[in-house]
Amino acid sequence: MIIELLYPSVSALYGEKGNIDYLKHAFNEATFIETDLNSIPYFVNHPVDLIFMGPTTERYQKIIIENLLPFRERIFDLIRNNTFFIITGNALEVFGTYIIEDNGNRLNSLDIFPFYSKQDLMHRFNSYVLANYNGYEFIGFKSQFTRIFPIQELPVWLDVKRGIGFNKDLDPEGIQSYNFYGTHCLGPILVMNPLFTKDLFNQLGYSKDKIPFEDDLIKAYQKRVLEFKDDKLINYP
Amino acid sequence: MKPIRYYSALYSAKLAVFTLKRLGRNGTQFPGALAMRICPDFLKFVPQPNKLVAITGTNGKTTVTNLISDVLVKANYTIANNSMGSNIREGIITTMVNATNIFGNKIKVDYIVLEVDERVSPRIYPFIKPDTLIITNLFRDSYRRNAHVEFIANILEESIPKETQLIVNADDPLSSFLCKENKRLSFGLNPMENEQEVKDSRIKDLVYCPNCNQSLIYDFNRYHHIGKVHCPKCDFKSISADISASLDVKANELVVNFKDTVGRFNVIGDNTTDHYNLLSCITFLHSIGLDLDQIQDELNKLEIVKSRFDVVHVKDKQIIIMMTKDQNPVATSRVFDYIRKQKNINSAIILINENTEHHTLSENNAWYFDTDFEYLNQPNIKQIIGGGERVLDLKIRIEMAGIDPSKYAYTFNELDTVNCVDIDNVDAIFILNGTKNIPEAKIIRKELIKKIESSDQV
Repeated sequence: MIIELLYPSVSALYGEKGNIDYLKHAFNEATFIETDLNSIPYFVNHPVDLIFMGPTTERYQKIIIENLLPFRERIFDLIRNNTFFIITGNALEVFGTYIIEDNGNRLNSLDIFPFYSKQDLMHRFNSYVLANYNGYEFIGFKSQFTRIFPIQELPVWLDVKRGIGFNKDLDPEGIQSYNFYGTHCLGPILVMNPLFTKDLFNQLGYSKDKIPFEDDLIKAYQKRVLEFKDDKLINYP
Repeated sequence: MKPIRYYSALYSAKLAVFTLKRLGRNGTQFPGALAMRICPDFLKFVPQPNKLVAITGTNGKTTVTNLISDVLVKANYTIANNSMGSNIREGIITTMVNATNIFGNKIKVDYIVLEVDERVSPRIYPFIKPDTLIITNLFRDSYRRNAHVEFIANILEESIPKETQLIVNADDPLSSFLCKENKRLSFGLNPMENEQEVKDSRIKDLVYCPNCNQSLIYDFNRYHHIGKVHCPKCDFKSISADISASLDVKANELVVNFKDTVGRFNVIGDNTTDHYNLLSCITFLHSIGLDLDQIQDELNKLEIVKSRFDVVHVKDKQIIIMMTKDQNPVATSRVFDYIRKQKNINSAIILINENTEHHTLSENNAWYFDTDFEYLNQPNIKQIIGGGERVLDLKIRIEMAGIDPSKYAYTFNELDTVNCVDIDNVDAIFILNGTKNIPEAKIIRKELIKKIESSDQV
């Protein structure tokens, strides 16, 4: 198995390194490719099984878009050919049509999914997310300067029950298309959502009965789900 | 002519300060909040200080503010500061209220020493302009509020007045380049005798050249992005320190090289961050023309603020309270690094971060995954004990760090952590608290003292 981590030294803000660590615990025999900002991504010329990219700064987001734009068609093909993508935080915006920067500039992005993102550096949007997916609850945190606005109908991943979705008026959150999973939710999501992670890993060919630290992950998850449902603890926007 | 609302705010806030003091409370935030409510643009009308030094940066602000304040007082300056409380706008306004005379037209102290949260800079510096601004360092911190370090650097870049002299850490290639047009003095710490570089920090906030995006080369990497860097492609490189220091390990002194002389200063703690804090303070005091002997005399009498590092000895054991700061992976990693280097003592660690916030929210623990828990994977660290609502998340992080889970005990009630400590098998117990649970740490220490004193061991 080959797992490519795209630009991990700048694209794993907000604790998302935890997702990378967790993948390494689970797939300890896999080959992990850590792509440098100045290198051509490994996926361009080689098959990969999973690509991970997490949140980054606004400056690096622009550089990453520049880096990836020449390989847009290849990324399209990988998605259509069922390569797994786990994309978190504002890395998701890279796959949209464009980003309206805080100064009003329009920054064209990969245009793989029909949505745009709008930055507002004066406001940080923090929220909890309690969503339904595949018959179980999915949880995460949001801390971002952007909101997403669909241009056309999107292949939605999560049905948000509480918290903020794409934007304050839209409950859906995240994109799921073929094996592409992208969300602004942080956590790290693989650690916070063992039921989802187990499903995902099984699809990836994970062969053991239990995912790493499964019992402890489930205990922590169950406690969080109860907290996320508790109005006394959480004021949802 | 100042508006009536300014005077109304000033007198109301002064009355609030007086009343709160009579009630035995610090009251560092409420008077400022009250003044803001009555006069939202209060800072616009407050008189300009005679001299103002502000201290900002991710870590070390409080320590540096306290050190500078203490020395200035001992050097017979009258001062006002916010060292007892809030470093956001309300706390700063309270400090200005305290420093303003009864007529509201003059600052009655020689120096104002202000700790300023980086995020509130745009709301402060347009109105009260520091003569000197010390930027201790910049790291990622508090993701919900501060996002990432570039965001904070941009805020500072845009809000620091051009006429303010900066004192910057030459070993921090992120903050030392801020506001390039401003006059600056820099300090740096030379590599210490046998100092090992810490290249295994989980996070590094400066990996690529800010000019050309080439991977930077660390010529010396003290920890995280602290050290000396250069770009192999362009001319970007760390600045040279105007005032450099070396550690004399045997004498436990910081040997500071000024342009024309050398000064020796007792260190205020064992951690490298303590040396940086001391050095920033020395640089400032020297810059305002204080006599070197006087700086030495006064600083050598001081020790680090007890809320940050506090040791007591009970029988043959030590109990150490150290602040790790909630949501701050670098401050916590620095403490973990300090503990891992205490290789000749068997220790237990009590972690009670986060416990105070669970009443209002389900805390985001993403910062655990940027914190170097791996440093705690040492044979002489016998126990790690979690207390509070987030102990299950903590367990996962500890397991992911490769630490034997049998070393980990937890309780949802932080005060019960005392009962988890295996007193007989450890020489030192570290209590690591955040900024909001210092009282709980002290209660835990009190109970530990009782437990040790009543144990059979001599």
